[in-house]
Amino acid sequence: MMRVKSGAMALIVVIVFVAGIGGSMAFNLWKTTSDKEPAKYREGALAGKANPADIRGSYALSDIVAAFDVPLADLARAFGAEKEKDPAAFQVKSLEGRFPVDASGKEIGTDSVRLFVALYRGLPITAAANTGLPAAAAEILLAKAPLDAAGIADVKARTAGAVAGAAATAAPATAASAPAAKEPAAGSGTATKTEPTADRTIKGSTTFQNILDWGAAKQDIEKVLGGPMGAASTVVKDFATAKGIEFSTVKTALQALVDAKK
Amino acid sequence: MRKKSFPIRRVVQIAFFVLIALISVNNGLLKAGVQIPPLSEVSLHAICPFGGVVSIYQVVTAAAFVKKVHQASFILMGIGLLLALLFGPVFCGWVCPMGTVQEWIGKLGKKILGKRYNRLIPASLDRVLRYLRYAVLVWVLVMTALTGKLAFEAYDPYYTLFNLWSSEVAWTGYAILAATLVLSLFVERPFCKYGCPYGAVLGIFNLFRIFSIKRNPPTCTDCKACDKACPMNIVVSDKKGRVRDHQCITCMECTSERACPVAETVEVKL
Repeated sequence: MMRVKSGAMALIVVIVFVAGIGGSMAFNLWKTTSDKEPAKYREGALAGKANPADIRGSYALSDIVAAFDVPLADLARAFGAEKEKDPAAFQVKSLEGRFPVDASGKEIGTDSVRLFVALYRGLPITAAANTGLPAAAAEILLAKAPLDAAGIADVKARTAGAVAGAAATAAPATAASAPAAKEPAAGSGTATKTEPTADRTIKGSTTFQNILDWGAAKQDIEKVLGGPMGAASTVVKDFATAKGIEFSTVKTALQALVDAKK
Repeated sequence: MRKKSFPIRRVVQIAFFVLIALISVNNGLLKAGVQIPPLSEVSLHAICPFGGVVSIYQVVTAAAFVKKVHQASFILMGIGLLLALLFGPVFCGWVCPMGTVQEWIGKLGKKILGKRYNRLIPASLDRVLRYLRYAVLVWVLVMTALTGKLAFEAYDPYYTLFNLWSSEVAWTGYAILAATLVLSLFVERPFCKYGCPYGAVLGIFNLFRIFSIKRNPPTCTDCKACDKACPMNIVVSDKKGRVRDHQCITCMECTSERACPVAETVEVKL
């Protein structure tokens, strides 16, 4: 009867780990970080271009420069990383907690970088209502981004530290009055949109389960998506980003499904 | 008295502990722009096999990993499961740094409490508590599937232990780590016994593993040395052959190489 002694067990454990990891490295399967390549738009005029909505906290500024061709100097200055020892290696998640939440509740974090990059490059994006921009980022966008009047107003309204009155007079962007980027945009052609907060409103955190609960049929949802919707627990925005679909394009159609059931 | 064999398991445990500690320190240094040369930018999540387990649902339904989990976790999950299929939860007994730390503190507990160490919890209560880790496992799997995020991260003492200096650790992580370390002074491997969801997954393999701990009744002197040596309080001395207890961690402390005084009486066999 085959016995395994402790010396053999030690060897087996080490060999299985070394062989498993080494073998997967040899076949290029050993991945301990994401590729730092954001998902791409798959439809519309922007098909094939990187989607800023997929920028993640683990991205360094150099990853964003590579994916979106935003100058490092602008990116670093916008988010206060220009004095870092290596601004290119500055990770987006490092922003969390770096800027205090202002009196109006605007937060500066990963979503701010997504918004900045999208506006800088004239790409469509759906940012959260409380996503803020540092003053330096707003300054750069106002000077260099292809913004129309509504876009300029939205940037001003999102600038951290901006007075509430400025936000109110700046015609906050909504699905109906979203400022359009001057460059061609995919899908709905909108740039920034704030998320409505009313019940049964599709937001950045809405899951497929929410939409099902609100009465929409699975087949209708899949018709909008053009394919299977995935797990009910999946966040619609994450699903759209992963599939290379601009969230704003499906959001409108899904909202219509939900509204029809009210 | 037969001399115990060289404790090679300790060597393997220390090696894995040092490796994980170096990766953890490297992560901290990376933020300051310094890197330990042979170590790449590997996060602890990326090398946690349990990350692979909690990602299975997400991979099947949405073709994506749970946030912070990468392909390496899946490969390590495969390695862990292969070893478990062959030898049971050998990962727990030989590799897991959290188990190693609990054992180290347990040595201090043994010195303080003597024979009372690891025998303080009433058997009837202990028997029920042993199933708590399956409840934890179900909760973690469900919550991770519902949220698409690592639900256990905020409670994981292993992640907390190697991120003590990080701002990413939740207070619940610190609390559970502190409770685990304090309890380790009284109970051997308390987190493994009662709370570890990955141990729960691997423990199931004890029911059908290929190489099992086997007791040979004809040569057994019924001295109960195997029972006393088992960190998981498994009663080996009453088994007619294979030990199929779901809590076994294949540490081999009960075998004829370590605790059992009679040769070829308690062994890991096909």
